[in-house]
Amino acid sequence: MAGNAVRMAASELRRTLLQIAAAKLEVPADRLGCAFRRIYDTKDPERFLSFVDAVVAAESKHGTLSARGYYTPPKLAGNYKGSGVGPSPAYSYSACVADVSVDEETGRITVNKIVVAHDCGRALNPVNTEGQIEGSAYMGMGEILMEEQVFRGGLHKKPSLLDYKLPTSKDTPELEAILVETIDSEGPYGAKEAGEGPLNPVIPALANAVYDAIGIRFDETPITAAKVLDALAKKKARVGPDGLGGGHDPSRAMRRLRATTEKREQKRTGVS
Amino acid sequence: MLRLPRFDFATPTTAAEAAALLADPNAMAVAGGTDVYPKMKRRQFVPRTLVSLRRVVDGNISNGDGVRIGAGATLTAIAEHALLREQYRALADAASVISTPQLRNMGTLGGNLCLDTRCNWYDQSLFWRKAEGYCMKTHAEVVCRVAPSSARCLAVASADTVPALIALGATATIANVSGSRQVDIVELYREDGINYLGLARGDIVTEVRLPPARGWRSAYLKLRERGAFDFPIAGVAAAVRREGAEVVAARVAITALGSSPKRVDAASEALIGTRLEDEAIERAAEAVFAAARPMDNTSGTIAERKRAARVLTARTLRSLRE
Repeated sequence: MAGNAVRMAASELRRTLLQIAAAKLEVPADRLGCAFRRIYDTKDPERFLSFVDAVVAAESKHGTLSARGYYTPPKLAGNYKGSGVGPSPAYSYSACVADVSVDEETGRITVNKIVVAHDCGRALNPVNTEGQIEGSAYMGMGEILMEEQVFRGGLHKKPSLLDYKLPTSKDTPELEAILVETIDSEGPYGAKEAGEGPLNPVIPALANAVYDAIGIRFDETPITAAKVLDALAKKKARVGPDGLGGGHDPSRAMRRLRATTEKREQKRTGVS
Repeated sequence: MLRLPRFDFATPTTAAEAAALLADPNAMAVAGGTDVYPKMKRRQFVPRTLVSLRRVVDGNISNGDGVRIGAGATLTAIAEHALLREQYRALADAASVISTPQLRNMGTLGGNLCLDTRCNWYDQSLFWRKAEGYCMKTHAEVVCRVAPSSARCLAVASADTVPALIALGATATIANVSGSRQVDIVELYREDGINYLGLARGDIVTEVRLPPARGWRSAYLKLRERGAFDFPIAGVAAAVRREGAEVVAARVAITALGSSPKRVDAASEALIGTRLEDEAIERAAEAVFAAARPMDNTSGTIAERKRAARVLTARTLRSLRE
């Protein structure tokens, strides 16, 4: 959404610069092209004004250059719990496949490969977007295998980056990023996001891979060697907080969610 | 950002000069500085004078009757040395898994031998330690925060080269104003987190000597959270000498499982006269397990580290079968 606002503001600035260039080059603005830091006559590309010169000239005429943009998403089709907080017109989607090995004698988990496919709408800069996806894969891996906020006696037990572990290059496997471009109708040039979205499937994929390897469900992070050893020794089927998962009927949770949402909607529309 | 405190930097050119400077209780020796400077930034100690050993000890590695390594040899030089990799494998492997390449380029063997004991109550910034009320290692009037009823500091021995050197039967040459002496590496250490080195003020480790390697094979395995950076949370070194398939001599040593590295003689006894069969290895691993005394002052859990003592011993010994 912010991308659309940026696009609008940038378009306004582009118009300003093209007007300046059109006047200077004595060429109609609609015949101008912009590339390689130049504003040039498409009929005679050697006739150009450099981007820098165009900006200087525009500033001389207008003062500091600025523009505003804004964007309002279209009205949502329905009511969703929490919809007021995130009125995004589009959502990105990601899938992840992870391959791990578990050393049952030490509890250590080795990640062999992570593949993440991310529907980013359009990858405006494909290399950059792949980098974002790989970074998300790395971050997800670190979260589920190493990162841990522990407090002892009121202070953080791991207050430095030596104690609070993040994976090193030695811990990080081959990361493969697959760009899925669905060209979203609401996104700027069809783009959606590639910020932290790709992170989401990585954590459950790794947990599922560990389950596939040793048959133990981990419903909490991090999955440390100590937890793996403990679960193996005690033949636990699941490691995680009480009251969640562990046999509770998921459709019961869905029914409760639906009932709460309907009640809120009735309250909102004054129906009882 | 943490800053160094002010200090004077002395660069003596002889061992005698260095020893004289180090007689001052406010002076500390520094070689590569990979542990000294970070600790000064955290104000774990604040020496008035740092005495550089760069011009006092050499870093040469030479072989004659066995191998002689100057205490100033960098960990990188040791890790990459062809003869050490081939005949004193445990030492080369141990050096190669310390920290990161950049720190191995600066860190020295002498520094690793004299490495400060570590604890996650002690190796923190001044800000954190002050908020926590410090601990026995820096403030004598405070109890040990790991085990409040402990009579002594429980900080952990954390050097990787030491168990390898113990397993290889190495000695260290120590020089001071009166002369020099040679000690078995294992004799250098004390089971005390504060007084962990049997060195007097003014003693300098100048070199390490390894006995001839004929017939010996060795290995070192380190347990740590990540593939780089981290100190050991368990470390096992093993060396065996075989005649044919039979083990005629063996040494097993551990680190990060107590305040001092230990040679586990019961493990050696379990191996001598055997052909490194599974049962023999299991008995040796059991002996190491019994000798391991991890406390809750590093990453990882006590159970995990104690277990690793057995697992790493079995794995190092199995690797020596061929």
